[in-house]
Amino acid sequence: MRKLLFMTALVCLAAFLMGGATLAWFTSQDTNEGNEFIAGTVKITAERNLGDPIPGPMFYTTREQGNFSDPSWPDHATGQWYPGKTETRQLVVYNQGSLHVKLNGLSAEVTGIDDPALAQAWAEKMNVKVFVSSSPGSVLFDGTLDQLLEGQYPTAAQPFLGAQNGSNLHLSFEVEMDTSAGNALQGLEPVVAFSVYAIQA
Amino acid sequence: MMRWKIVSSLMVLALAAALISGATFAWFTSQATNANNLFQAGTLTINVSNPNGGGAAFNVGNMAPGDVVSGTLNLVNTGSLPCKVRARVVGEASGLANVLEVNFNNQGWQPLTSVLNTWFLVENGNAIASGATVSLPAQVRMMASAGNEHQNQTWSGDIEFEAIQDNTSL
Repeated sequence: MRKLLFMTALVCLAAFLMGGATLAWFTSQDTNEGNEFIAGTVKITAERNLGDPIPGPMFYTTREQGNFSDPSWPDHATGQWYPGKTETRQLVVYNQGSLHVKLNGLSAEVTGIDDPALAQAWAEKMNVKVFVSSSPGSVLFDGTLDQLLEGQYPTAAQPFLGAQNGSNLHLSFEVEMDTSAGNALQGLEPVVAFSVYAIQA
Repeated sequence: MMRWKIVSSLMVLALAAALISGATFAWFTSQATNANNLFQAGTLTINVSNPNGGGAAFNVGNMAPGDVVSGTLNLVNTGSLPCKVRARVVGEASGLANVLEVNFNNQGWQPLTSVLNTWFLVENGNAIASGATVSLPAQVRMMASAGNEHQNQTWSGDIEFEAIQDNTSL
């Protein structure tokens, strides 16, 4: 008799469920809204600096080529180049982004010499050393200019540049025309763009 | 437990495959450029000429013992860089050379054979500015002691000049 009652109840429950009836369990819900994920920025800028506030190239032959139209500022024109000549100029890299960065690459582009073979020959005779001005042992690159012509060249040292507003790093570019440069390089007027690369630290 | 091991193994395999296939990581990067750096190479050239016209400083015929002839060469730094210059007389130390003496750049008389192929410094080795001209006077005389055996002999030679940039020693 008892078995009969149990089976009947079970059949009723099954019929109840198959009929799509809802179960009114106790439930609750809450939401944590407004979660925000803002990506930081990596942005560097660079300016030459040897005590002057005038934007322009680090290396220039004459005062005019260095954009020194204001007579109150002394220029640092290199004059013409010849084998054995060495000049050092400074580039200040600013961290304008919101993230810490480290400098990890250098590159250069040469224009002003129509013959690609001659441009290559010239670049092979220009020795370039890039180091942190305040720490000469921290050398980013020490080689010939032609090594920088194939795109981003990984630096040896990767100096850190914090994200604090106005954070900057002075880099020294020491350039020498090799003493083995021959007469074929006389009178050339190559123009070089130096690029610095940064990556999030 | 077995299912978790299978899942984790598959994840490791997927990561390895991604690394092997050269998947890139998109770190944030930036670049700054300092453009228009000009490296203008200078030029180093000289030009030597006879201010009296003609090519050679000396073209003398019919010399006799005791004769003295004068000539001048002008050396011009036609390059854009200052330079140092040296010069030498090149020729055979034979025949009439044995009885010729030279007074080059007012340095005093010397037997030609003693100065042949020997460099001497122009302007005492000091730098010659771009565009500057240096006048180089020279005298040649036939020794009064020259005997008849030198009659109708000839000697010819060249005066070579070599310039080098100012920051280098000659």
